[in-house]
Amino acid sequence: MASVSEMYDVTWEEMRDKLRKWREDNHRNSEQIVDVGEELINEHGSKLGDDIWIIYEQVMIAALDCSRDDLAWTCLQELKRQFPGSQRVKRLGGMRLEALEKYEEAAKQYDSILQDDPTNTAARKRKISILKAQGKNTEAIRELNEYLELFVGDQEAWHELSDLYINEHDYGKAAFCLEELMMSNPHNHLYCEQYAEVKYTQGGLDNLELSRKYFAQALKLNNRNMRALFGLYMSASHVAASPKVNAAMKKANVKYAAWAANQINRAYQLAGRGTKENKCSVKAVEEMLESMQITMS
Amino acid sequence: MHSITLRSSVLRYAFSVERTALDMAEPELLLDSNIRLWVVLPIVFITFLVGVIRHYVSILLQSDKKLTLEQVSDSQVLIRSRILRENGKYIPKQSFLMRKFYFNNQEDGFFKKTKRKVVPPSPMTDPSMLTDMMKGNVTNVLPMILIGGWINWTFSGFVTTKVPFPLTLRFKPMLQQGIELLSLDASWVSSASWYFLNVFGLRSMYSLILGQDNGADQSRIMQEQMSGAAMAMPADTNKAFKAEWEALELTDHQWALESVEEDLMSRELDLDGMFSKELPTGIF
Amino acid sequence: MLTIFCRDTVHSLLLKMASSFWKGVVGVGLFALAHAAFSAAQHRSYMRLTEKENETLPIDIVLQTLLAFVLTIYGIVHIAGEFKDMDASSELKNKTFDTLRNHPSFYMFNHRGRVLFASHDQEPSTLANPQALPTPIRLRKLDHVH
Repeated sequence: MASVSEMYDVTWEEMRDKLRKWREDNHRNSEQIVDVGEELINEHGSKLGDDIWIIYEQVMIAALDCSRDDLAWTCLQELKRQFPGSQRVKRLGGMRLEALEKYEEAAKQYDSILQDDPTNTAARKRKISILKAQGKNTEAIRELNEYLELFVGDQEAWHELSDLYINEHDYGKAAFCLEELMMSNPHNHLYCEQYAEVKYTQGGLDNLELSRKYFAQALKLNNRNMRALFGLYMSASHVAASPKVNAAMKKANVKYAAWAANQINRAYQLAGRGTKENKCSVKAVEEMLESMQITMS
Repeated sequence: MHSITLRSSVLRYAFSVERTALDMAEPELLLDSNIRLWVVLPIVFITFLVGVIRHYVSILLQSDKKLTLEQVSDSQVLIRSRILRENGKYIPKQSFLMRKFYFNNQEDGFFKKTKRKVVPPSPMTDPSMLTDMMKGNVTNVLPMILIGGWINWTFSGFVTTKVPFPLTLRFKPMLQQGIELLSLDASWVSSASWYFLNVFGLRSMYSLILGQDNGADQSRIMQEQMSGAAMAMPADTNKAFKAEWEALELTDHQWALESVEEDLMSRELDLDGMFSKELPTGIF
Repeated sequence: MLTIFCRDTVHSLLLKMASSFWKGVVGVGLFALAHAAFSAAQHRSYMRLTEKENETLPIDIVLQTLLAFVLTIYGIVHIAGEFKDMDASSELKNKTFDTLRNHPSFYMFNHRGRVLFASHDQEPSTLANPQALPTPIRLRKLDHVH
């Protein structure tokens, strides 16, 4: 089989840097991680130095995703040999058990970690994801709530909880979690956008106005967030179309919607710069915006 | 016998007073260039290397402190409340008030009802604290005394360098330790003082070479010792809760998004780079 | 595909060349600084020997010092690393939900990956001879990504 380095003509340093980038950016492209990481471990393992241990961990988790138990097992053995008694490695062992669907044993493993160190958040979170994997969503939510009582600063857990609530259509609570995230990361446009979407889904005039505000905030933080731009248009025209609003508010919202539509048009014109289909696509956008208006009113 | 005289008379104040032909008004000291090679540089190296060694020894002796579950969660609650105070303006008013009520309400707000038992850790009952203190002494105080004494003994009595600005007489005990020479100008620095200047001056070098949070930094340790026990254990969670309660009580909700649409619409969106970016190709 | 890689390699080559060029600039600058310092020391000892006291440094040494200093600073700025935007939100602009929504602590493994990447010996009937395929399945999938 052709190796990655031959196919792409890259050196092992580039492969290592790529893995690091994926690790830092939190990608879950496990298939590619396995391909690149396996070759890196097998053929350049000695050159990696101390980097190899974290690569072992990364590749192992990716291997579990790809159900490559052989690879996961090798990585785990290497890590166990290097760090005997490490709780992080113990947790990885538990994750392998999870991948093999031996949830009881995995839970036992995590419990033993927690006995040694009750502050180990990773093991607690694994226990919650076992519940999730077993499809016990309500229990997972309950456990996650208990976890967040203790570790109220864990942003990943807040986001996970909001996802779980969204799956359960409990938008009010999901919005609460997202508010928590927005407070910790006021500059992250994605949290604002998601919060606005949740509020938009919840419906009702007040929520729609909030969603308009947060779509606008997301757009302010990142001008290129097209989804927020559409969201702003939709929520503003929704509010404008509502029979309960007074004239001044209606006027303002019509203004917002018009501005958003204008910007959407601009974006599409910019996108089709220099192509013949430009005119058609811009026209299509106008038609689409119009049709949205019609369906709403 | 001859050598002893030499040491006391020449090396001890190893400079020669030389009156230049042109400038009769001010006598100038000319230091022997051997002083640079055998006193100034060795002191710099010794101080630096001792700092590096101390860094590694303190890493070796380090025992990581185990936090209890309660401590972790208390600190996270305090952080959350602080974030609420600072960034509460980014969430709607109702959500802000809800959270404030959770922390501060009169009957069962979190800061009102939560009382943590405070156990003042005493070194007598807790052996690990005793060892910690001893380790601190071994890595910090002991080398300071030993190396300081040794340097004072070996390199005593040299005039090493001159600060390039005039100083008043009051600086003499600071810069001229080990030399009691009344007529010497205050801007000359003695070897013992040069050592102390190095101890504190090499700090930025350590943070450059050993990283930000290194164990070689003596002045940091001294600061910690001065501020005393209060820094070492922020133990009194109840007090921290009380302070946070007060601060939160004073915080009002000023919504940052009041006029966000107007702000946004005041100018056209900056769509640069939205489409010109090439799509990612392959994995490399 | 070939063109893409050619351009990529040329690009990375250019980057490497640029970085070594700036390193060279810093080296030259530092050397010039050291040379200026040495010249200044020489000048002083010469002054002392000839007992001329009030003479300042010659203009060329001063100029060399200043120029080398500026050169070194300019070079260092280029090799010290990338500049970051002043705007706090700018780093987040290129983030997407794909990565933000990904919570490594809550990974689950009972998903389609189990079937998609199932090892070959488990399905001998369908994939009796993996070598018979034009490209191995896993690499073919990689090609699709491009």
